[in-house]
Amino acid sequence: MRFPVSRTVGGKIIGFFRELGAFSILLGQVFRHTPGLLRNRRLTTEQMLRIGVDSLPLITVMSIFTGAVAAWQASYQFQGILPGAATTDFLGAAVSAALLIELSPVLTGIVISGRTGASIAAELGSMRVTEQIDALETLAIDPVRFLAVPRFTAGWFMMPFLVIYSYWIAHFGAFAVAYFMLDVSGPKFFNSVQEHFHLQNVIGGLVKAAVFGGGTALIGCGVGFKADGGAEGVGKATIRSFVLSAAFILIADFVLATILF
Amino acid sequence: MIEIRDLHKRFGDKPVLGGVDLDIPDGEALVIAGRSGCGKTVLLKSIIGLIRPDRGRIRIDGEDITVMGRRELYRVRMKFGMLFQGAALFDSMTVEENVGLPLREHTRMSWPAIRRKVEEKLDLVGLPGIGGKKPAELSGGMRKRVGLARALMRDPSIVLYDEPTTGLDPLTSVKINDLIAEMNDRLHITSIAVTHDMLSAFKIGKRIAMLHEGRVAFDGSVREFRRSADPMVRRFLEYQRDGI
Repeated sequence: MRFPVSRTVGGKIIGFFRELGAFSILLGQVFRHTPGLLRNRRLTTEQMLRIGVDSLPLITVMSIFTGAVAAWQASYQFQGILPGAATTDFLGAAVSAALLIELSPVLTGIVISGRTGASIAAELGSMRVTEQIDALETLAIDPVRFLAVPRFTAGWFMMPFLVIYSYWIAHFGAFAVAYFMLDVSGPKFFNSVQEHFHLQNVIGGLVKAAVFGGGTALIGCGVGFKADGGAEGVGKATIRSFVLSAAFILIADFVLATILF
Repeated sequence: MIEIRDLHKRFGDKPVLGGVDLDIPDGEALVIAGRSGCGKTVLLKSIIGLIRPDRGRIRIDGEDITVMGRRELYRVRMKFGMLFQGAALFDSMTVEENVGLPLREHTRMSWPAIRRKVEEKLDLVGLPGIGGKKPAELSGGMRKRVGLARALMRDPSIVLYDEPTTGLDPLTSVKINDLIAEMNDRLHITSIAVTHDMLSAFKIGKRIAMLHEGRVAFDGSVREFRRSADPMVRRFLEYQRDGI
């Protein structure tokens, strides 16, 4: 081994592109099977409930505190920049813009990648190591159509709804802090939100949400399909899915921000 | 008719199959025997196209599956049923959903009609009335029988069994062996079982092919196998008798 470092780095780079290629192929297969979605409507509905409805409690807690922290931090940072009453005049607008464009989509995406993406990887990984995916193959049922398409569809479709829900709850959290702790009246807070509201911010946030949801589900499926090595392999797949999804969300967030805003 | 010619498969540096030749006529009850890790399961999974060989041919009723695309392979797989070592039942589904899945996916039959057929197959494997249970509620032997019911659901002409008695207690193993033997006689299907349990092999097989170092080292009737003077066969039977 004359060049161990370059060999290791080279191996990692090749591995990254190999992985990227595998996910691209899986995405292509998912799109190929998507026209047959109606056939899978029962499975898709199940996944929508799982990704959407079952995630609501976690999204509620995350959103309340995201809104609350955003209001508190915005007020603190305005103190050194804006004069007197202006710190509270723009509080609603500043918090709302941050929530719509960035905080709600990204944090909901990260929560979903931890909760749903990892659980998809664990479930499919466990199916792989217990030969359930081979069993589907022997029954002439394509695992991509049967398992990946419903999860991918539920992921991109439900995430925007979760983010809309998060918007409402986070605004409520921000208002609660503004009203009870920063002495900002209701009309002042919501007038500020309304005056500086841009529909483009909402649409941009929802586009991001759909991409994060679809990407997270796809990564969970891809990692789960490739799991091996028994229970240990399933555990590794679960962690790997979360790490890849979180990285994907942060990178996609930057790319989409440059395109959408 | 299944024809296997010069089949090779290696995983990394490790050769597993090194030129397997085997013919399996329709209606045959073949057991593929051999020590653990000799490539029995790899051969079985290659026959149904779950593993692509590196070299060689597998013809199912004259069609070479080693060169088929996914769609064609799925068409050929409709002739097969397979019982997996751990039964491979879908955890998230009930027993009747598991057993009924092949018909639900491949036919336009109504769910009540599928349920009737499911109950018929569960009856056949001696488990009537358990359709509403989840796989986690079943014992190992019951899971295998449900797996067998699912494998038989499309009335296949070829059924593959991967270590059908592994992990079962002796009494349940006898029940499973009897059931498989009964299915072979009643349904006149081609059955290929992989096992290193010779009690099971003698019960369910009419012919035994023994794999050794990636090749078929013995191929003959059960009677010929038991009486074989081949030192490798004798050694294998002695290992079995000593429980090694």
